[in-house]
This record gives sequence, C-alpha cells and structure tokens, in this order.
Amino acid sequence: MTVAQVLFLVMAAVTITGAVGVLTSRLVQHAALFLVFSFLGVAGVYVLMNAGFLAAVQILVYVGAVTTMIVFAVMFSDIKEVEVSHERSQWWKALNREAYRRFFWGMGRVLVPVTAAAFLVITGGVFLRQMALSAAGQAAEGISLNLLAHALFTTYALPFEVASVLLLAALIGAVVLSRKEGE
Amino acid sequence: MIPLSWFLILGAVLFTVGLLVALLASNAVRILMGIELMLNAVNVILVSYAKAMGAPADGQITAIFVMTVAAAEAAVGLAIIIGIARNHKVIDVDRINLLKW
Repeated sequence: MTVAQVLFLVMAAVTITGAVGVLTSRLVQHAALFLVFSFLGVAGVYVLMNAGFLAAVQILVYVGAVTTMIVFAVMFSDIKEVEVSHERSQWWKALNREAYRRFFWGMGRVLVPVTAAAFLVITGGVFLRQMALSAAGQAAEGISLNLLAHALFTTYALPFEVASVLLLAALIGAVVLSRKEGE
Repeated sequence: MIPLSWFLILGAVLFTVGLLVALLASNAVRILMGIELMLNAVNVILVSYAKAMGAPADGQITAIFVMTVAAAEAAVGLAIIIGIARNHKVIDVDRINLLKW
C-alpha cells in the first residue's frame, strides 16, 4: 500500500465520519461542525486527485461560505425549537444524552488532530513532489490553473455566463426572501 | 496510485449517508446539509471519473459549476428557512404542511 493510498483512506474515514456525525448528532450546531469535517475530507481527496485548485475552491466555498450560512440559519431560526423537535422523534430518543455527549467529544478529540495532520502531510507531500519534478526539469503533475482557466473562458464560456446569471438571481432571491415584510 | 474504485466507493457511501440525512431529518437546515453532502459525493465521483477517462480539466470545471449551483441553492434555501422560521416559529418539516394560510 502506497502513502497516497493510506492518506486516501484517512481522508475517506474523516469524510464518512463527518457525514455520519451529521446524521446522528442531536443538535443542529453539532451537525454543522461535523459537516465541516466532511467537507475538509473531500478537499483532501481532491488534493490526492491532483486537483489542488478544486480543493482550494472546496475549502473557500463549502467550509468557508456554506457552513457560515448554515450556522447563520441555525442562529436565526429558533434553536430551542430545534432541540425539542429532535427529542420528539424516535430516532434521536434512542441516543442517550450522556452517551451522545461522550461520543461527540471523543469524535472531536480524534477528528481535529487527524484531519489537521493528514492535511499537513498531503499538502506538504504534493508540494515536495512538485518541487522535485520542477527541479528535475519535468512538467508539474495534474493540470495547471492556466489550462483550467483557458478551458473555462473558451469551451465553457456559455455555462460560465449562465452560472453568473444564476448567482445574481440567487443573490436577489435570498435578499428578497429574508427581508422583513414592509421594509 | 489510488484505484478509481476507491473514489467511487467513497462517493457512493457519502451519497447514501447524505440521502439518509435528507430523508430522516425533520429539521429543514439538516435536510439542506444532507443535500450538500450528496452534491459533494457527486463531485468526487465526477472528478475521479474525468481523471480516469483522461479529461481531468473538463471534470474539474463541471465540478466547479456543481459547486456554484450548490452555493446558490444553499443561499436561497436558507433564506426560505429563515423566512419560514420568522412567520411560523418552526423549521420542523413535519409541522410545515401548509402552503398558504
């Protein structure tokens, strides 16, 4: 088993654990935190696929923006109601409060250092490999940002413009929907 | 070298868990989280397949478009949830069963 395979397994474990945490955590705030780990794991998998730019976008968009929006939504919606509605359902009743607390803190203690260490190893490994390749006079692995940008603005120019219109529509829609009545 | 099947298995498991989150949760915010997980799973499969097929740039650009749509969907969806929470005081989808009242 190569180093890349071991790192993939670690990142896959982080991703799946985060996703299962979203499924099983009792509080929505905790689910949002588990979601961060799942997104980070996927970003690590992107790096292992030589898609460094995609990993950066994943961290910026998902870990940065989407999670912040979700935490905002949890803050604006009534948190007490969220808790009650979860205790109400059978699925959450099965999880004992104390066992859940221990599970959550245990997960945090394991997931945070494992994710940080795996990220350091992956990014460091990719960096050293590219340095070694360029020192040997070979082209870098994976596709360059140059190539990606060229394809985006030539072959995919129309979808790019459509995406910008979609983002504008979403921006206006979100403002209109979350605005208070009569303002 | 990581075999393609590993990425596909990761994507399939992640998609299944996301689907379970979207179907089992009663909280609207958590349902959105499940949708985000499913979109992530699809992106992983997309990029890995494109790489295996020898067209990595196309797969990555498609994945970026999927992320764009996911971000737009999350923004509008969360705005709707905040609106419902303000008017209704609940974001439990089992109790939001009226379109107009």
